Amino acid sequence: MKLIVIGSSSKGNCYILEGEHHKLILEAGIKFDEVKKALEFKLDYVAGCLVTHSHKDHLGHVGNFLINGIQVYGSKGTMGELNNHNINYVKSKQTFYVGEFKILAFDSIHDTEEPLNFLIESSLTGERLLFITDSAYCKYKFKDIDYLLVECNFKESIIQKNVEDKKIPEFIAQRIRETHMEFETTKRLILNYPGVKKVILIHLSDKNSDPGLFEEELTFHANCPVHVAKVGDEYAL
Amino acid sequence: MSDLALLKKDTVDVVTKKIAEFKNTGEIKFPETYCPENALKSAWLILQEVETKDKKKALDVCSKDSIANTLLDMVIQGLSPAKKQCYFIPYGSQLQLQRSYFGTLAITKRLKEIKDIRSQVIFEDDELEITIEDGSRKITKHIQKLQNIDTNKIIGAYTIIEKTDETIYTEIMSMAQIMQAWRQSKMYPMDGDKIKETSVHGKFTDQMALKTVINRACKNFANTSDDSDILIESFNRTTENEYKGEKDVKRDISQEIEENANKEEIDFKEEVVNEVIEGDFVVKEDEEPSRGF
Repeated sequence: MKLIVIGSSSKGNCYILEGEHHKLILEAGIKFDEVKKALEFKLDYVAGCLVTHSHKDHLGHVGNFLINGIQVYGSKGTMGELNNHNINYVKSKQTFYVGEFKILAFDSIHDTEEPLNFLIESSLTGERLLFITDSAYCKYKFKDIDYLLVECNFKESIIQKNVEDKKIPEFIAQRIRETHMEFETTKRLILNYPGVKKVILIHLSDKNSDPGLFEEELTFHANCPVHVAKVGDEYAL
Repeated sequence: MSDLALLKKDTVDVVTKKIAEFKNTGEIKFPETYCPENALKSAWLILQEVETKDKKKALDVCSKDSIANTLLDMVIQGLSPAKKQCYFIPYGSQLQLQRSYFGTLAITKRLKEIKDIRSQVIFEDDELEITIEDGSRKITKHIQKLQNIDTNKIIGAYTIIEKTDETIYTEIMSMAQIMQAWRQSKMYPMDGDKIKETSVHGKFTDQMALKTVINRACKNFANTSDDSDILIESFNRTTENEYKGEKDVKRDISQEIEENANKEEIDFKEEVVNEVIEGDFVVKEDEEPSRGF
């Protein structure tokens, strides 16, 4: 598998997971034109798009995805009033296939209606990628994970300093704590999967994170390479 | 004894005993129309239906202590869940009591020196005259035309508390102040500067604005009253439950992470909600693969 990062911040999120024959888009928070470019305009290979929740940076451009015939998979709570024959409703703990990818949806901890995260398995190689974003923590534990695509949004010490320096108000900091993954929580999650071959950290906050430190410290603790996703990155999985 | 009966013994029965003690020592007086035993009975029935965000029974998840404390707070404040004066809300393993706007009104009216409480929403184009007398704000004139009433054009709200000695206490909040209070709400009704249209606050903006200004007035008032400390303590605790205290939340989420993160094992289910079309992955040479679905 291969992972391409098109966007990984609150400005817009989108990733492409390439399998043997099919491509799976994760999130619809980036203009479809840019996604098309990254796909080299070969839309026929796209099996579908998974969306985690209804915030704009994850779902904002879904209209154009749907118009272009992309099958979109998300919860009823996420899709809300949207009505289109290309929408596929999924629920937490349901297993479904999108092209060659076998997917398990599970509930995440965020302040939207019915947010989901996904476990993705290549049905050809059996390799498993765990995709967790915009979640204060993950309730679940999975078996045989090969790759982690996981949020590492902020560090408590940095956010506290920003509140003290009045760069962000306390109530925003509180909201972030309740809805996004903190460095230590991400670290704990990673340590739960000692067999993982690669960790890609996503959705780092602009103000409340330190990519260099995150990469360095988590590489030290994990048994495998840890990368901070940047726009345009490509990772062989 | 069933689990439920055991839990009832550890919570409802404990609270009933405690209330009897308070009554005996005269520490607290209930309004004549309030029967703590009935309120507890209906609370117990309602509690059995309360669910957490992830659809688990609150009674299975919440700690016994938090259930007992919630019930005690309810009774001390003389609130009735059947009259929708309060709700039970689970946060992680902690059950909390939240008072509704009816509840706040009911309890404030119970304070000794209160005669009446009245509230109004102020709309754009309303004629409003506020004067300051002896350092206190007073509303001397409020003229409202029917055509002004539009929930999208609320500019503020006020509450007037009339005391038995005929003095008047006025609390006025601008819409900006009201929205600032909503930003602290656990219900997340705000999206930046806008009220979320789908939230209760977006659908019933006028009612929620009234609730906010009444809450503030009553909070200020209750804390300067000379009623029993037990009642006021309990009142304040429930008021705090509605808003996100700085330390509370930090503790809440880290405790929740400690208890719940990376615990429940799950895996793919045998039952698949959509089936792969046979031969879907078969790609012949020099031919592009078919799309998944």
